[in-house]
Amino acid sequence: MNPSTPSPAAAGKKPILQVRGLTKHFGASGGFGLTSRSKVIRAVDGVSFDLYPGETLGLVGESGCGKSTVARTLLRLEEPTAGQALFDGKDIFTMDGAEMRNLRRRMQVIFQDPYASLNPRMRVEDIISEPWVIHPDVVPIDQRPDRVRDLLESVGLRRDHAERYPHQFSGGQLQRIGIARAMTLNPQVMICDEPVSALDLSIQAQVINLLEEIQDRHQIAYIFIAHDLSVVRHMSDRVAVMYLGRVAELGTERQVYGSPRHPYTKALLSAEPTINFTNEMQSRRILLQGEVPSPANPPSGCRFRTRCWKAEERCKVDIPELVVQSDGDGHVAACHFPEPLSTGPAH
Amino acid sequence: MTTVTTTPTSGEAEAVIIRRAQPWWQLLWRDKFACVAAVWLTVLAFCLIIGPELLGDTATQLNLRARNAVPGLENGPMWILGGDPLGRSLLARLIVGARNTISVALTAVFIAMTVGGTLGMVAGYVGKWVSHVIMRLADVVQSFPSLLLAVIVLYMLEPRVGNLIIVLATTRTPIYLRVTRAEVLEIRERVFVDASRALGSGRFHILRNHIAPIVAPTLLTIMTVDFASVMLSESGLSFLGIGIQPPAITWGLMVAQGRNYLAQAWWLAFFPGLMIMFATLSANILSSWLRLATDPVQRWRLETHKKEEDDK
Amino acid sequence: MADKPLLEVRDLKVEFRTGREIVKAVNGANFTAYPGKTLAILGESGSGKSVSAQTIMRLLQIPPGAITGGTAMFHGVDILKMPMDEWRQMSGKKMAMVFQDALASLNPVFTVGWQIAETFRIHGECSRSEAFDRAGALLERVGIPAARDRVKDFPHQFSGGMRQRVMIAMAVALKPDLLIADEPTTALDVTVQAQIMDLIKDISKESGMSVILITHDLGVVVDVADTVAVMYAGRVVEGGNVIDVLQQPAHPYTLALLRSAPQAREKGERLQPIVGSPPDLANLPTGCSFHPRCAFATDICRRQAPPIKSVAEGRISECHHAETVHHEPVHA
Repeated sequence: MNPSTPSPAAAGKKPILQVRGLTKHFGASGGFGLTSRSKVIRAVDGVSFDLYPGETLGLVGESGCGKSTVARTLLRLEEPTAGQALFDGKDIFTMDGAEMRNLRRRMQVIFQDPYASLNPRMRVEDIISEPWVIHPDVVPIDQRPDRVRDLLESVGLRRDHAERYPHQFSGGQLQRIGIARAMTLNPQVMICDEPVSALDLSIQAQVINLLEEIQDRHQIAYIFIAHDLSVVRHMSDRVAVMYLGRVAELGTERQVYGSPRHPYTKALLSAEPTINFTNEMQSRRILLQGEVPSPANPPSGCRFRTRCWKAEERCKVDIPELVVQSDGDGHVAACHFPEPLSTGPAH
Repeated sequence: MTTVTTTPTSGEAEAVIIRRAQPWWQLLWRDKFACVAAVWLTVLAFCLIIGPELLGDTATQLNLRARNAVPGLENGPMWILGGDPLGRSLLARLIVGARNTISVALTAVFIAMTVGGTLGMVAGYVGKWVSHVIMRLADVVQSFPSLLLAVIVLYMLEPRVGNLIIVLATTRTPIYLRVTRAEVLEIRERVFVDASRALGSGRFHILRNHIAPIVAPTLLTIMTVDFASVMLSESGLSFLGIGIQPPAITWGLMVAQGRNYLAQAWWLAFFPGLMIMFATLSANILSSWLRLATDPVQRWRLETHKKEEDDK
Repeated sequence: MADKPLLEVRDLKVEFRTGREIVKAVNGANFTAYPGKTLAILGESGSGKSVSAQTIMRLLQIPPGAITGGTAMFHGVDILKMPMDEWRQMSGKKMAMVFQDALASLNPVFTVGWQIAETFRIHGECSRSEAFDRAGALLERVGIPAARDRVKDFPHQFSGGMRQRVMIAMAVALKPDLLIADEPTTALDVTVQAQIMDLIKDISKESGMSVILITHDLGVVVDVADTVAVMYAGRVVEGGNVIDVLQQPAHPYTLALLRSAPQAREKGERLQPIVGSPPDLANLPTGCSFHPRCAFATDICRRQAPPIKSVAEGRISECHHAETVHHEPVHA
């Protein structure tokens, strides 16, 4: 299993973040008598991927697939149960306080809900300069007011917006403020946890464009988490499809969307409502039976087998590994009976 | 007072209502209830500071002609609220009593809030074990009848003002502790706290910058409600002879002493009771106002409240 | 559209009065549902699409809400002016609704079978056991596995998709003529969303029931609806056949929505967002509400509210420049 084969876009580069066997089980260590008997929720179970400088890795999947838990664990908002995450060769999960503080400057996050992620009692100026209060050496105190206003302009807001409170902004503007705050420490990696899911369609495009502009300007690597397949497709160089805490398929955007090898990816793509008017798309729709099983009690073997139309005895017993697919480097899928390569053009 | 501006910024047109920030005294002036409350509390503060020096003698001066005197002007202006069984001026005694009453209650409530709030934040944000120890301690204090606790402690120690304050504060602390802990447990799960953690902030930074500013107004509100019950507990203890002792004057003590005369001279208990009620009510109104005024999301209620009437 | 309309909403106006301002949530909306057809009301948050539906179902909280104008003719009667007890007789039987949040719409302390059976017992005179029987049959119809056993389960024992199926079962229990579905799949995953949409389509086809589908998702509209009404700032700014509207939009807002959708753009190509923020419903712009964000706006748009224009057979657009927009290709 080698998911780290570089994609064409990142060829020759060294990954900035290497995630290996990341596992997070909730309720695993019960405290007092009663709680310890509760079920273990296997939110993330052995997830591995690489992130290269300046690229966007999309993380896509339905609710409960563990994509947000991956983000929270990488940020150490949750402690992992097992696994490694090497940032520039150093494991995030074993870092001490000082190393962690240093890492915070290099890895930042944008949250889904722009209303909830900003403290309603703080002025925008205080929200954006909070990182500099925590890391006082980055910007001297007397330069902070100016820098805050520069940042506001760079995300498409006005300088005088610094005086206001969050409730005086619309959702899209709040998300811009969240992005400005994440930019204060000049990070190299940005984890975007569903950054546009809470926004209206007409505003989504503004924020997506802003994220792309920032990436072009500062060469930040994004881990872009979303459930919206079309948004992920637009943003990402490479895409990892997750199902019930595991990576089902990983490859370049063209590979995953053009010729999906994992049946789940295929079903997911076909279920996505599109505004294409070709009836061909409609007729090929694969309607999956049932819903995602509970991560507290995942199926044995392949986790997708309960909803898969190809499942056989073997899928119950053998856990499929991520196997390199024949259509070029870096495309891996975890399935015993992968889909044939699509013969048509990638799009 | 509101202006609508439409200013396009980098291809973005927006219409946002901008309200000029108003200084706090203007906001206070707009809310007449809060204004009256503030004035009353200022008067009380005045009594507290200079009352005993100004009227200390009058309050202890016996006037046998004015024994249990009916409120009115017959015995001179100082006896306008009547006289006590020894003919002392009720008005003077109320003014002089303000210092003992308010300083004891305020100190006790303030200590309870500070200790309870701090412990609550620690219990809510630091590890499980510390939290368990603190909460069980709170259980112990609360499971004791507070009066019994006070009686035991004050009999063992001396019934001095300092001890009285400590006892009153101890019995009130668990309330602040529980409320604070509950709020902290809720706030710490909010996304903006996660965002701050992801920026590298430590526990102290989060408690001070994100949690305390949200918990404080709640504690302030409880404090004003508590204020009254502490004044009454203090009078109860005084009545039992283990609180503040005569000849010192407190409103609670005056209520307690006046109870014996309810049938003959209702004003003896009525006016001190009224003072306690007004003080509490004013504190309460002002704290609700403060709660709104310090909340950026709610502040507009104070700002526009009056304006709409002007428009009509 | 030779058919007689089933529901005809004309010039609907709804306001909310809060402490400091009047929010014009619906500002003169017109739309029509035809028998057996599916009408999608497409709009973003604050466009007034959900408030319109709530008003028609008489679910609007009054106050703070207030219906300040308009009619909703259903079977020849204005349901907005119908006395409440008469309406209760009719709702459920003739018109029913499915909400986004199925868990909140089900009573947590009763079994789902009981809740469906109750629908029968309120309106029809059938016995307790018969009502339960029919509830089981309905749950089977909406695709709940082992339905006969699950009538005794409580709402929290169902998954999100299954709960939405239960809601649909309750809504179609009395075979209404019209089903209003308010974002029925927004809270669900895509694979489950596809299942639910198919179920609604099937039931509609089977029983000739009309559907008004309220959604913000262009893809869902294409997938399910026959006609579409695009709402912006409380008005229906464009309406017509789904494929016509989305292939040749005649309102700049629809055009801009289609252009900003990420599905049409590849990596590296920038999206074409709609500039600006959603309208402030308490301070609507003068003239056309969309003009501050519109690429086609001219002087007249700032001064004068646009008339309703018919740009083609069955196609309306509320834009001064409807004809120009209509000839604009979606993807330049």
